[in-house]
Amino acid sequence: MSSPINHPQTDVVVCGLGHMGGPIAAELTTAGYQVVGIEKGPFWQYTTDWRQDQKDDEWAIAVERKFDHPLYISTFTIRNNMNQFALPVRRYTKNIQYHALGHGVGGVGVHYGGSLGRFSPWSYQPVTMTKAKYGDAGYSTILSNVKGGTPDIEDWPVTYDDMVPYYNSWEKAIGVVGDQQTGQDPFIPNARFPMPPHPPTPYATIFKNAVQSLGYTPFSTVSGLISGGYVNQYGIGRNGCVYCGWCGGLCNYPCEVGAKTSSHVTTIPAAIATGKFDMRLESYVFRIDTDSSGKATGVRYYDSLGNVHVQPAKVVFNGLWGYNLIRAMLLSGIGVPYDPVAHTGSLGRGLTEGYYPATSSASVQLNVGANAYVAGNAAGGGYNIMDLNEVNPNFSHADDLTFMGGVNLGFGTYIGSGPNTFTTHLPSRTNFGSTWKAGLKDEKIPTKITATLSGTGPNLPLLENYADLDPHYTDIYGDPSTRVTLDWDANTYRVSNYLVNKTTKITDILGKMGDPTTIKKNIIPELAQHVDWWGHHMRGGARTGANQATSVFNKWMQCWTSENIFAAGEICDTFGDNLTAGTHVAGAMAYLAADGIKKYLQSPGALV
Amino acid sequence: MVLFLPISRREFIKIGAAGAIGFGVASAIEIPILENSINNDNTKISQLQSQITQSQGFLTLNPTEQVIVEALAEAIIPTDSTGPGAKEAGVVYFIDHMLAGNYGKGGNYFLRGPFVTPQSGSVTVMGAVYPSTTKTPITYSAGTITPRLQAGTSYQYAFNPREFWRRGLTFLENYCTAAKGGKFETLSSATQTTVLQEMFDNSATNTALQTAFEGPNAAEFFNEIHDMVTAGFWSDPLYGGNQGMVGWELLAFNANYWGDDIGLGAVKLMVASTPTRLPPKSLGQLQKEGGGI
Ligand SMILES: Cc1cc2nc3c(=O)[nH]c(=O)nc-3n(C[C@H](O)[C@H](O)[C@H](O)COP(=O)(O)OP(=O)(O)OC[C@H]3O[C@@H](n4cnc5c(N)ncnc54)[C@H](O)[C@@H]3O)c2cc1C
Ligand code: SF4
Repeated sequence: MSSPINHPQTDVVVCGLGHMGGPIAAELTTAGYQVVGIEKGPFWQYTTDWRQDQKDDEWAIAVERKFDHPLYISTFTIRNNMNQFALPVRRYTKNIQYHALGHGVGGVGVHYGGSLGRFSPWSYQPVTMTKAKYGDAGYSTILSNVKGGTPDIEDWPVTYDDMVPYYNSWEKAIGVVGDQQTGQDPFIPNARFPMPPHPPTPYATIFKNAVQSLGYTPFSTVSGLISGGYVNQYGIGRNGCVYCGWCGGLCNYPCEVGAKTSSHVTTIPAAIATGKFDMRLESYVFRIDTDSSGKATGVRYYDSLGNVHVQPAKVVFNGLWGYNLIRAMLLSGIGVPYDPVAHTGSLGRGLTEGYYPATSSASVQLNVGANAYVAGNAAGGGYNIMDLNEVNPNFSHADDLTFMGGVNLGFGTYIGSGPNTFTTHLPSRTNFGSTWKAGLKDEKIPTKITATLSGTGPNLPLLENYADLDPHYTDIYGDPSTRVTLDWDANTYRVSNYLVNKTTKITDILGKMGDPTTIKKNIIPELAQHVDWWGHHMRGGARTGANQATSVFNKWMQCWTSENIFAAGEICDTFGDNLTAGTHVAGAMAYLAADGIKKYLQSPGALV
Repeated sequence: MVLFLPISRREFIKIGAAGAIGFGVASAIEIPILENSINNDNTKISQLQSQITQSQGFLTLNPTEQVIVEALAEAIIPTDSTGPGAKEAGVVYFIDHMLAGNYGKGGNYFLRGPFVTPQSGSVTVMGAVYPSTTKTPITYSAGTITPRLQAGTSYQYAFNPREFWRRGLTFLENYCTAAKGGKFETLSSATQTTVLQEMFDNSATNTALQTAFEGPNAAEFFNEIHDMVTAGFWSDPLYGGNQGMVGWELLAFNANYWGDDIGLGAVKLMVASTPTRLPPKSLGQLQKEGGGI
């Protein structure tokens, strides 16, 4: 191999140009700094790569994964506990695009679901606010009931109020859709969105009326798929959603009109427009270099021909997403790796999966029909309530202190999906032959639809769950893969059981929506399944926190042990409560990190 | 009758641990053993050929495989009073074309060792327990959920999907011959259904099945067959299946047609309480029209 190619020093090097890397690139270049962006994938152009007459293709998207990270470059391994041998993920699960990793400018954002929403004040201070409601003793009872491991829960180093300005910047940049007058929810103050909601579906209106009659406060589903033409604070304009039908569901698609918000259509174009952004595509970051004091000197990456490049920088931003974000730091010897036996160290600690196993639910038949194929999952057109959640001061589950949190209950968004991904079409003991086939006829344009409501609560960080480097498997360049050790706690089962089974909270709503005699409950047993790979919402593992012993980043997203390394992403969440999908929260975190980097460049040193 | 010998689990793990990638079993296929069946198969294929148009034909499935795959596809999506099935859709061509290309090669797969073969029980590997990949169905008040076998880490083979099919089809024929007295395509429709269900169940006590299948196991192969047959019925006709969009027709799936040219916005169509059924449009049609955004 020839000797490394050395580049001149830049102010900031941004590793990974997804939802997180985009805001950093836009904010720092518009503030006058020189930024280099390094991204292992290409820059897809929706105007050419995703034209409707090519992109609306379920085989390519749901199975061949044309726009996902190729696993032969790198993968990760997973096991449920530290006594097991971790197996590598060798292929994406067919027809379930939640199993997906980003590749290219925009990252996973180019084909995520676009379901958004702010976290609540409770989400940022779960310990303090749960104690305030149920008392220290009540909180101890909750912790002692946690099943599946030892809870490792902390408050964020920031409060909701601290985050409001950053939420505002993020929402303006990507054009978040939601109620403009009333905001996201009365319990989540000052959330006013730049774009109006998508038109409600008729079944969403049924839900809205039902919950209103019970005294709850519905709000329009918050969405990241813009509802009309929009120009953001950087002057970047985009088209509104055309309800193409090839958008979301079990499998998610890139958008042919650029309505699906991600950095490739929102913030990266803004950075490019400044002339201060140098973008290196198909370039794979493998090390962050540090000096003897632990400060980063820059990064090293391979270009697509295998040449090694050295890019010195004053600040390194790690926007490599989840496992890759942790891995880059472990490989570079940055931070203190978590020791799962001694429970010391912070890098890899507190890992949770933001997705959840099946939860209990109840359903009712409605008196309306729908064509599930038209419109598409624009993650909008529905309504939600936060009333069955800790954020509501009047919500209390003091009668059942076996779980933490509550639910963001939503209903009525557009459905839309390709035929291969409907669950009634997936392999099973009965899903084949003539009887099954007859049942499929016109099944997605019923004249009466069934409404299902379910509750999913937070998955709690446990001392047993963590990420480290795998001893057996490597990426294509020979560096160890990330190893994930993770299993469910019982929390989310219990939240759903409480709402569906132990109380009538869910069935009361269903009774107002449709014919009460058709209500059916589906009660799922606790911990019937182990974590398999979901992977679209990895939280914790590289947490931001007030305590240096248990977190990797301080409140400015500045690394405790390397003052010029910053990061953002769901993997940095101190606590993730599943109230919303999470990118909204991480996006605000990226704007906070951008502020931190500006402060640092003006006056280098520890910001806390 | 064994067409090729899978290396034993123990050996496989050992080889895998040493980092070997080659699996080298396909060459063990004995042509003479197949002779009789090929003659039978040829008759069936000549029947099939009557349907073959200029652009249809086989790229990778051999004549024996063509017949089994056709029979499997028809058992899963039969042609019946509900309408056309896998046969009319040309599902067998879809599967053939996909196995011949990137999909069959496992183009995006991570295929580096060590390799640990799936087990029905757990096994110790390098001092650590390897969890079972057989997932037990979860029974709850509304029915039973069977966790999907493909999820996450189930594919732990050193070979690509084309080999997966070569092996799976052979195992299937061996099982049917041993346990049902004939190859899959010769069995009655009721027996075919039973075989598919037995594969799905992959019961540890079904010794004949366990003996016949070893990497892929029966349930994994069932899932793969089902996924590919349905994909051949419901993916865009460009890929060789879903000919005449018969698969979409069954589901009333409108595919790439939003109904805008009949004066109804998509939202309106969606929300009507008597939903409108729209005729589908394929990507090929759309491209010809120079349409799309
Ligand atoms: C199918 C799916 C649906 C989702 N739906 C929703 C939803 O509805 N709502 C929601 O809030 N969230 C959703 N998410 C999650 C959301 O998409 C992610 O949280 C978000 O996109 C992550 O942004 P990121 O910038 O952290 O990572 P990414 O978008 O993954 O960006 C990281 C970038 O870094 C690059 N990269 C990685 N490693 C290297 C390397 N070594 N060198 C160079 N570049 C590298 C990658 O190619 C990628 O472009 C979904 C995720 C998936 C998979
Ligand atoms: S439904 Fe809307 S946002 Fe989604 S891909 Fe289609 S046009 Fe884009």
